[in-house]
Amino acid sequence: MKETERTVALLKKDDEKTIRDLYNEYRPGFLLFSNRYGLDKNQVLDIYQDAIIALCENAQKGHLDELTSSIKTYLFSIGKYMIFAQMRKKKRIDEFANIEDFEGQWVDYSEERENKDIQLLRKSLPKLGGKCQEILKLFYYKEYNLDEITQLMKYENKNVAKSQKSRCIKQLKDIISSIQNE
Amino acid sequence: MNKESLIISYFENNLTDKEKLFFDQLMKTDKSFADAVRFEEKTKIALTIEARDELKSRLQSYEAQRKQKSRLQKWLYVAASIVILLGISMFVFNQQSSPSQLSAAYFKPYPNTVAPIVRGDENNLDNQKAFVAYESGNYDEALGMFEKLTKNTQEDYAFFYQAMSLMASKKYDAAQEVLTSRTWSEEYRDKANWYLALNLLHLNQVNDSRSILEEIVRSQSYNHKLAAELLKKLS
Repeated sequence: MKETERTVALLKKDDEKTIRDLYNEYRPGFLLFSNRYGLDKNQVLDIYQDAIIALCENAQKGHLDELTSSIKTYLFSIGKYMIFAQMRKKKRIDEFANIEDFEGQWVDYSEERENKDIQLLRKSLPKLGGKCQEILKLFYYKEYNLDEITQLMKYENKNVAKSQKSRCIKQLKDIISSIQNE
Repeated sequence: MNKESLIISYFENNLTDKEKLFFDQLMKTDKSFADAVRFEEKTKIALTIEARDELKSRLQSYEAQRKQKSRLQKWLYVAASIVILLGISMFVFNQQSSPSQLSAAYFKPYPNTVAPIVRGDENNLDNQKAFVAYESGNYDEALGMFEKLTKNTQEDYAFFYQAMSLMASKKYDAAQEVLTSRTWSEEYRDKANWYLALNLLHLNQVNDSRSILEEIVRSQSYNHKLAAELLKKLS
């Protein structure tokens, strides 16, 4: 197994040490690399952390299974994409200059954070049982399909996983209405 | 395909073109279907934000640890520098203020005022030889000769220059013995006092030295200005 594949496999498992080592390994280079964009150090670190998050997220979703570049190149391109996105938000540049498209692999949900429904959901999710939190996280966040979840969570068959998932969604709705009725 | 399976396939990114058309149509026409999809989409976003925040706080803790580590390192550097500086300044301080060092700084062997060396003078040969050695800095050699002279002549000058030679060759105990064992004649009393004060510093008898120096200053005797200066440095 090549180095990159091994790292991606560890990221899929959310391996704490791998994430920490990656973070520390590429941090100085990223700070140097982003020097030219005139952002202050805290902004750059914030973006770097988001780039690491995107790397972990996309590894987990299987987007990096066919990665042809190195982890570092991927991390720095997504970081550069994020820097440009932020500069555009602040109207410091008018357009994305020949920047690789990461739209499909990174959506910044900063506006959704203000949404009332999202806030209500975030309040309700932790009130679900552990099994439900896990299955919903696998399905919606990590984008596992029901076959993979059946296997991972050792359900008898896909239908069990399917009904488990729909039960969890129903529970979530119940929690929300009980919060709304408080 | 039922509606639930359709929604699952939508989230699995697994809809066929035909299913996709059906899905889009239901989104427009079937409110409960559209509500269900929107609810799950929001659930997906909420889960994503939660997961990102959780990972973000982990990354921020790595960052804090780095800062803490570098702060600790900085602290260690500062502490090490302070220790080194303290060491150096204590070294310098000790250098400057050790009584023995001070004494050495003030010690100059008293010049030969007894037997100016005149070429061809055959008289007092032993005495001449001793002073030749003394003036050329061969204190060990001079010492032996002055010792001999003390025995032969019992003269003050011989004892005085013996003491000088002893101090110059760092034999402070013996010098002490010579300086204190005599009642000096007036010619040497004050000088002997000054050198006794210096010699006591070498023996680390600072208080005794200090009282002699104070006496020298009070009586305005030989080297009283230097004595006053030395007293200041000793305090």
